[in-house]
This record gives sequence, structure tokens and C-alpha cells, in this order.
Amino acid sequence: MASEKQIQDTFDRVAQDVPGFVAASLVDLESGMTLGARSMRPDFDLTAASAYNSEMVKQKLKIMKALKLETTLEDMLLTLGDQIHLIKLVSPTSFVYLVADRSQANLAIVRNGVNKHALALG
Amino acid sequence: MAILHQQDRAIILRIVYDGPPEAGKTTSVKALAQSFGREVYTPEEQQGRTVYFDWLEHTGGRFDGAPIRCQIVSVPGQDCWRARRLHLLERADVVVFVGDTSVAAWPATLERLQDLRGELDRREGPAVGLVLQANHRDAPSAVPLAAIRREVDSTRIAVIESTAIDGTGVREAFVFAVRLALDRVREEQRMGLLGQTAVDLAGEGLLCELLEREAGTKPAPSEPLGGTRLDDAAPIVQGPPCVRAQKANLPQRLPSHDVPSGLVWPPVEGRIFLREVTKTPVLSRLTRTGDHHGTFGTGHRAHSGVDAVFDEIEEGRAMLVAWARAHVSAQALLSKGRCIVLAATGDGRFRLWQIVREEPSIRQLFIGDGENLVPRLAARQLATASRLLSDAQAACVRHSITLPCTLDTIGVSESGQPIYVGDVAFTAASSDAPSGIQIVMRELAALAERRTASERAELCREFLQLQRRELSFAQAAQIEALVTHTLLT
Repeated sequence: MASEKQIQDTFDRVAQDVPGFVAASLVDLESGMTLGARSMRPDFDLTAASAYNSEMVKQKLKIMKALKLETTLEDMLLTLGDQIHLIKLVSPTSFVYLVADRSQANLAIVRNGVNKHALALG
Repeated sequence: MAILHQQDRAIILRIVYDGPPEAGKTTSVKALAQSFGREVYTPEEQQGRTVYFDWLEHTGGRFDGAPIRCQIVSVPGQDCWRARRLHLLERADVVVFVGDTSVAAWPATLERLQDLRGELDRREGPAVGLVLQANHRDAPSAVPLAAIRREVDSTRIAVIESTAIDGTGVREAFVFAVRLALDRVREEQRMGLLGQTAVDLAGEGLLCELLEREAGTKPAPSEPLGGTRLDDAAPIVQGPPCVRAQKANLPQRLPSHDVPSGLVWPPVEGRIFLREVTKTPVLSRLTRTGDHHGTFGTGHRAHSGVDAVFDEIEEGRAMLVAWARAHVSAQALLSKGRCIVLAATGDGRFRLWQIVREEPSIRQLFIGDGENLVPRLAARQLATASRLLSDAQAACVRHSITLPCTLDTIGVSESGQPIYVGDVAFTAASSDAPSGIQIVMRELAALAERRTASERAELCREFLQLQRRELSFAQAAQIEALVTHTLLT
């Protein structure tokens, strides 16, 4: 598992590649605890957001199971009025959660920026 | 014991940081606090040393929809505060032991860790997870990690390296500790032990509690005995159907500690065991019978039978529960260092595995191929084998255990008692299995075939002499008849 410093360094690189980067965290899927986080906005509660998103990922996996979808969940993209949220599963037990400002980034840029660096966190 | 808060339905976990003085407990808690952007509450310090405890609260993560509130407490490390330290440990849902792993400090660290292990083992209720945060890894004289693992019982203690002074490894140890604590919460939920509170205990409250107790006004809490817990699991991602049929017959990746909560037994220690045993991904070897075997570089083996694969997770879990019960009922005889786990096969199905620490059997210890045994030695060793098998079978009868006791499945514990070192089958062993004496007689007969008449006679004499000394008159008479028949005809 990557150390907290490695995680933060990775997120620094993601922040450089993704315009409008707001915050990112590496989250333990089982507990929803963050293993490392980077935020540009102190008012954004990344800890709480990470925890709630772990519930969402688990629900999605349950839905896939109920529908007997025999495939894998790679990522989840959520488009808010002013933000883009990306959840990228990097191992069976952890995912990257990234928030970007929609006025400065688009889905493709965000996805590309995360995919480029996410392997280092798996 | 974890507690459910009545108002906000949060799960309150107590994560206790223990360890020898100046090992880095307070530094670790402070590193966590910095990482969470929070303050540490420390009631009193003397010359920079913790006197009561350090307290940090962090709300993060979710458990079955409930927020997780962590009460992070570090104990005073000095021996003069032992009673205080033990009291703080009583309510731990998990313990992070911060140990100085520099060469000079390592013996004291190990002694303290063993003391803690003893304290936690005495606690009733579901097992309390233990994480060794191997600290001071930046020291030039740090004990190598492999040596640390060798010296601690690393199948019951997760080892995570850290340098608390710069925060390296501290968060990782914390998050793994939370996972172990949640495994314990699941077990407590199942057993109806999860308490409730309306009180928001803060550091000040814990200080009052501690002072009241030290004034002799508060009894120590107690918890009932725990069992096995196998609960809800997160679904597991499935592979495309086109490869499903093929994958069943391919070598498979052996399970790791990544399995969801509720799919590993024993509930807390099983995850630690898996984390320490399955360091690198290993593929299984498929036998002609369809069983999967594998060995880890850590002296452990994995086995999954041809009948241990399930289409639905619920089927697999039902069998896991039944199998866990079989393990619990046979615990009096089972060797330590084993766990069972239900893992995804990668083709949408689930496979039950048992992972067992390799221990020598009676055959390996006392008989070998039998070729080089001189009669005197052979007699003594066969007598020991016979005694161990008889004791194992007697233990089976006494504890209603149905395990096959043979020269290949029974070994010896450090205290000289028989232990079951084989794999545990899904189905109970047949009740008409041969007795220990009969098994040894069979071995004797095989040995005798390769000996001259005079050697056979000598073997017979030595064997009978030893058995007469060790067994009752009736047993000795029975053996005498058998031996005479086996060796002298």
C-alpha cells in the first residue's frame, strides 16, 4: 500500500494535470476511512464526502450483483451543477475520489488525469 | 467494546495506542491529529511523558450506513502507570502497539508486546485486533522486518512499518486498525453485545472516569465469551460469462486479506492472519481430483476442495458458517495458525479455502521412511507415536470431535500434547476409523517386512518394554498380543 506521503505526492501530480482540482482522497472501501487526502478548499469536508461515497460504491456493487452483471466496476462519474466528482476504483478495497471545478475541467480531462496516476495507488 | 450512540447512531470505536515508553505513541497520535486537522487533548505531562493519556477524536468512514467515531487513546508507557494503562486497554476495540524496533530497544519492545498479547488473550468476548506499528524504521540499526515477523507471532499480529516522526505508516496502521475494530463490531452485533450510550464522552470525561476508578469507586467492565461471526459482505465483482467455464479449471489466485468483512473466520484475527501470511499473490496448483493447493513463502499452505466452490455467495457463506463451527468445536485439538476464507473465484463464483500453518506430523517427526531406524530407536519412536495417537483419539471422544487421527494428521505441540495438523474436511470423519494402536501396528508390520527375524524380535522386545512402562496393564496386554502377531509371525 502506498504511504500517506506517496499518496499526497500522487495527488499533487493529479492536481497539476487537472485544471480546477478541488480535492482528492484515497479511501478504504470497507471502512470509508481516508488513507490520504489533498484539498485546495478548507470548506470542503473531504472526510465526510469520502465516507458517504464509500457507501455509494458499495451500493453500486450490490446493484451489479443483484442484476447479475458479470463485469467490473471501473469508475463512477457524477456531474453536479458546478463540480465534477470522479470515483476510480484502484484495488478491490480502495478507490480514489476526486472533485474538480466544472467551469475549468471536463469529464475527459478529469478521467485522464486520474487514470494517468491512479495505478501508483493500487 | 464498541458502542452505538443513541442520537446520531454513530459507531464509537476505541482505538488504543500502547507500547513501551518513548516508542512513539504520542508522536503517532499527534501525527494522526495533524493529518486529520485536529488537536490532541493531553491531561498532564511530566517532562514530556504522558501521565494519563493522549486523546484524539476523529469522525470518518461509514459502517452499514452509520458514521464511525474514533476515540484514539494513547496510554502512559512507564511501568509505574501499569494499572492505568491496563484500564485504558480494557475498552479497546483494537490496539495499535507502537514498538521501537531499533536493535537496542527491540528486546524490551518484544517483552512488552508479549505482555500485551497475554492481557488481550485473557479478555472475554470477540478477539481484540492487534497491530504492531513497527516504529523508528529510519534508525540505522533498525531490526530487519523479516526478523521482527519471525519473533512476533505475526499470524496474530499485523506488522506495519512506520516512522512516526514524519508520519510515515501512521495512517496506514490506523486505517487497518479501524478495519479490525469493525470486524469486531460485526461480531458484537451478532452476539447482541453492542452497547448503546447517550453520552458524548470526551477526553475530560475519560479523565474523570480514570480518576474515579483509581479512587476505587468503579468496577472493571466485563464481557461475555465470544464465538464466530459471519455477517453481511460487500458484493464481489464478477468476470465475464464467456470465461467462466474455463476459469473453474485454471489455477486460481490464493485469497488475501482484501476479502470483505464477514467472509473470513476467525473474524478479527483471520484478517491479521491473512495479511501476514499472504504477502505476495500466489497461484494455486490444481490436482487431478480438482482440488486446489498452494503454498505461501511463509510456511503456510492453502487448500480448497473440488466441492468447495459455490455459485451464490449465500451458499458459500452458509458453508463457511458450518465449517467455522466445526473448527470451533475441534479447537481443543486443532493446531494454531489457521483460518478459513470465502473468496471470489474471478468467474462470478466463490471458493472456500482453508489456510493452515505447516506443522510436522507424527510420521515426519518419528518415523520418516523407516529405513534407517535401529530397532531400539524405532521402538521408542513408535511407542511415542502410539501414545500421541491414542491421546488424540481420547481427546476426540472427550470433546466430541470428528477428525481423522492418523500418523499424517496428528503432530505434537510444544508442550508435548497431540495436535491436529491436517486439513479439516467439510464432512465429519468416519467413526469406524482405525484406532491409534491399530495404525501403529500397521506401521510396525511395514517396518518388520524389511527386517531380519532377529531384528524383528529385538524390535518386538523393545516395543513391549516401552509400552508396559507407559500404558495400563489391560492396554499393554492388548498391545502385546498385537505386537507378537505383527512381528513374530
